Amino acid sequence: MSTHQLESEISFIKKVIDDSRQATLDNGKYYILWGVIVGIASILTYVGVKNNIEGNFINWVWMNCIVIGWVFSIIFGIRDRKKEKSKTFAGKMIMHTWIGAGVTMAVIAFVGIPAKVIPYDAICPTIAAVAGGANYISSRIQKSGFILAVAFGWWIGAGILFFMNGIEVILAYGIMLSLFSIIPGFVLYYRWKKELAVQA
Amino acid sequence: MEVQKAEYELTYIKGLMEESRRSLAENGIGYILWGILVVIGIMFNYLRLMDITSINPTYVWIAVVGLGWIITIVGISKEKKTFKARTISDKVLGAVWFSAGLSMTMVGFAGTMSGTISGYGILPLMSVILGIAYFVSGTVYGEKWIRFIGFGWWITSAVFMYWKSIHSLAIFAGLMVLFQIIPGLYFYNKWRKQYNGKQEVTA
Repeated sequence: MSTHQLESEISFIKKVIDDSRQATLDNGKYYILWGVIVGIASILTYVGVKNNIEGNFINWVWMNCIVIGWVFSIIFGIRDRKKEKSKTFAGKMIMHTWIGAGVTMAVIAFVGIPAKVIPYDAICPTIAAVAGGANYISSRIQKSGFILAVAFGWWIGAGILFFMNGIEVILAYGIMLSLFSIIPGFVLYYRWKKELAVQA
Repeated sequence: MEVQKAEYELTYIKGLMEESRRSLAENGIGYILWGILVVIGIMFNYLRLMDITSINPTYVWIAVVGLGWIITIVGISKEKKTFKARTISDKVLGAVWFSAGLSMTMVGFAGTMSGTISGYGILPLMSVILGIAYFVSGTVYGEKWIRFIGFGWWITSAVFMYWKSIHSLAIFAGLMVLFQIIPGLYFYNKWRKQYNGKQEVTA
């Protein structure tokens, strides 16, 4: 084996170790982004139902919010790719998990709600169940007990939301969004900042 | 350390790492088991709606889903007892299907029992969740056709949201055979070949 080959072997091993290390570095921005966007959609749905706003107001709200969420996610994704952060195996799996969750939300918003298959009081528990699943997969990839707790928070919350009636579902969902999306997003962001400072 | 020894150590470590990243001991039994159980549940639903049987499909669903979870949990604990090293890919795949199973159980039971989700809402929601599971599994396996099955389930979900017919149940059962049981059989055969190969090497 030549010195060059030895170097290449060592760099391969280093890349694998870096890969698994990077997997633990979630900066939480998608949690904050989707937490805020779905939160806004929920508040507007609450306003629409409470004030009996006629027409396709709820459809319009969800479609636009999901589109905005996707646009920002794509921008973040392109930026991350440029920094080569998402090219690792673990990063790719996390990215695809959240793309999958995003497509699911898009199918629900663009097809399920207009087709009236998913009534307004089923939107939140369904999205909560999907969010629980995506968080669970992320927690296993990142080996994070914190994200695992968030996943079970979403699932338990989804179970409760299914049995709640009326517009209160959206109110309860707002609390869940803060607890299981926005706050964890900030926690992950500060952890990521700290980790970066240590690495520097 | 001598250069030759260092070379050997590095090749060994590299081999281990490559193996842990790529090797997947997926035997496909989970796909086949859940595929068959869901088809049984759906067929009972369909037959009840067609007035061919008087058996309450809720009991059938409780039985099949309960059985599925029991077999899955027993299988996982048996696997843990064998001390077989699980690769990161195995763990992620386990997480993908556990989360899909739990989400579908939640939507299927809590959603319908509470009356939040109508009968016609179940199939598209199941399909949409299967979409994520296959999409992520495709990334783990590194095989595009599995990811395409994910897209197929998402499209199916969109179609079922607009096409509200009793017969959608029969179609869904057929799709489960095509896109759940058959891929399971493919994984099973692949695993058997891999397993037999390993046995021959050991012998």
